[in-house]
Amino acid sequence: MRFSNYLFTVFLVLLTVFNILVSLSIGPVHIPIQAILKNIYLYAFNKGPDWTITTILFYIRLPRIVLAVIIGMILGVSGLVIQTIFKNPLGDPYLTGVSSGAAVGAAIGFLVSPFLVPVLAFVFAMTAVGISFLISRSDGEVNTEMLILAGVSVSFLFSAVASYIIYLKVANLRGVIFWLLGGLYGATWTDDFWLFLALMVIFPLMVYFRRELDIMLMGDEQAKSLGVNTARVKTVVLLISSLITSLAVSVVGIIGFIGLVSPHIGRKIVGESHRFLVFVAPLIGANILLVSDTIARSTPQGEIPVGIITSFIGAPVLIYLLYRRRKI
Amino acid sequence: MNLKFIALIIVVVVIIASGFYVYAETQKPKSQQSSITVVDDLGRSVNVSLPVKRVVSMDPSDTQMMYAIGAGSLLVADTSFDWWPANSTLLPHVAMDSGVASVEQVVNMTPDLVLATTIQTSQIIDQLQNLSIPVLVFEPQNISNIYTDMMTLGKVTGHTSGATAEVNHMKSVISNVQTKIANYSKESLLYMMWPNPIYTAGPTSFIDNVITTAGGANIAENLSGPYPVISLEQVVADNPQTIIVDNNTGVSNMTYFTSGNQSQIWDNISAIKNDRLLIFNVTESNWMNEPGPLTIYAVQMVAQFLYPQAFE
Repeated sequence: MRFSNYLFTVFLVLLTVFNILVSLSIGPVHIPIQAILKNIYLYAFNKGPDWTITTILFYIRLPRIVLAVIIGMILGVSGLVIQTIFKNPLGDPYLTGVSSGAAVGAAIGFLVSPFLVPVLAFVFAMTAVGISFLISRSDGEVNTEMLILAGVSVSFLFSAVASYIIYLKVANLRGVIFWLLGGLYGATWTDDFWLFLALMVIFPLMVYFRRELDIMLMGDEQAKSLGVNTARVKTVVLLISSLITSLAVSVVGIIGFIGLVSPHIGRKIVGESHRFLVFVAPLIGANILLVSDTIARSTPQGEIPVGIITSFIGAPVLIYLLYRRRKI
Repeated sequence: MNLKFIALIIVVVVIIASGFYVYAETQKPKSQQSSITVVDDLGRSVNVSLPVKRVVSMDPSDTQMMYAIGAGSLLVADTSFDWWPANSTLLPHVAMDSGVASVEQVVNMTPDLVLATTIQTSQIIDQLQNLSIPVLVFEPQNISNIYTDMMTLGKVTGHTSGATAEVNHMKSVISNVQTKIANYSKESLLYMMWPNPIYTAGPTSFIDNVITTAGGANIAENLSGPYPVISLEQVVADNPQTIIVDNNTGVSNMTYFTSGNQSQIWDNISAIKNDRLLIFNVTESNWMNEPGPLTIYAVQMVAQFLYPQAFE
């Protein structure tokens, strides 16, 4: 079992690399493989590559592909720790109010200046998370049951504010709606750089906590008796997952379903232990988002919101796994 | 004596009454028609009782068409978005900032006819129809559709000659523009309704019809739907010679393209390299987005931007 888990993790890494290469050759503008290889060669040796092909490949497609992988990993790992800490299979990274907070920020951004959207989305997402945490603190510890309810209440409150602003005030409804549905259309190397940096700071922390997370699956009392400082683990893990989710949302909008479904798919294959899950869940997230986004940007009718595709791909995969397990 | 007097009064009353009756009959409209059935842009057959004396407009382009055909005085209410002609802003408003009209306010105006676009939900239109208030929905898909809508409006409001005159005026302005630009090769154009993702006007949109009429070659011609998203890849591959940016996009000048975080891409696009960029102000955006009599200004504006030499 353990050996096959190693194998599966390696397989996922290879699958990701393979998907990246395939995605690079697919897009609304058809570029034959030979042209791609030839241009990579010309570009690498500085021999006057074709401007159109180079721009499309290296400044439009590749940064977007990299962004899909990073965002998929962020959502996958955040969803995993949220589900573990809340002991709730329906947990997703937006549970603490991230998405509705970001929606308010974005709505205000579209009202003031569209270029402020990412900054305001991040600020308001963290505000919503902060309020949820303040409400659910008791005896210096985060009460997870209260945090779910606080998160839901805060989400509804912020959604109402966002809807009000969008319905009455925002002139360009299209921009807001596309943002709310989420999408990776604006990807640049700058976005990739900052999100990669954030992921590199936060991911090792999650890996570091993987044993504590395993123990917490048995329940808070048992975890405490085994010497785990549950209050500290919960607070740190929840805060950093909310932080990184807010960052992701501020760049790509609200992409649903990945954070919910990737940990479940991972669990069905490698089991409950975080030892592998902490690597497998984000890699599954990366692959689902990468495939979905490639489809979303390549449809002949013009781009469609990626959230539609993630649900379309993720849901059947999970249903299949649930069905198969039930029979065994 | 008494009986004679009563008979006299009866005779006088009968004479006066029949006189009134004859007078009233001659005052009636000459046509036998007391109602007319027309088809609107949704394909609905709408029966309108004549004569139409009180009209409520639920969209600026409807208001503009009414004034243009000379039927503006029939309007009793319009929307808070109305801006042309200037006196249209003085009327009471039934559709406010959210764009959706209040049925109560419309009914309160006791209209004989309500004009709408598809912004109004079908529930609102059904509600008004159920109250026996006829609603005409105008949603011109192209310029010749504006002509038919104006003629319909002229027929219903009794301003047929005004409508004919306005349609002829529009036709002559447009053919004048097309004659001027006939000898120039077509300029390719990217129309941006939103910068990121790039929302554009697809082949079935009204805006595409205006662009094509003004001699532009819309690079979104192969996409489907009225307002698709065009990928940046496609823009790079098509390398448009000109770019038009709508108002309200947050793009106010060249710096969005030349110093934004995607400037490496934009710098090499022909339109940006050669400074062939047109950013609409509010009025210009209204010309483009409100199909009606002002559409001719949109055609002129786009043609002048694409072929400045032709208008020197």
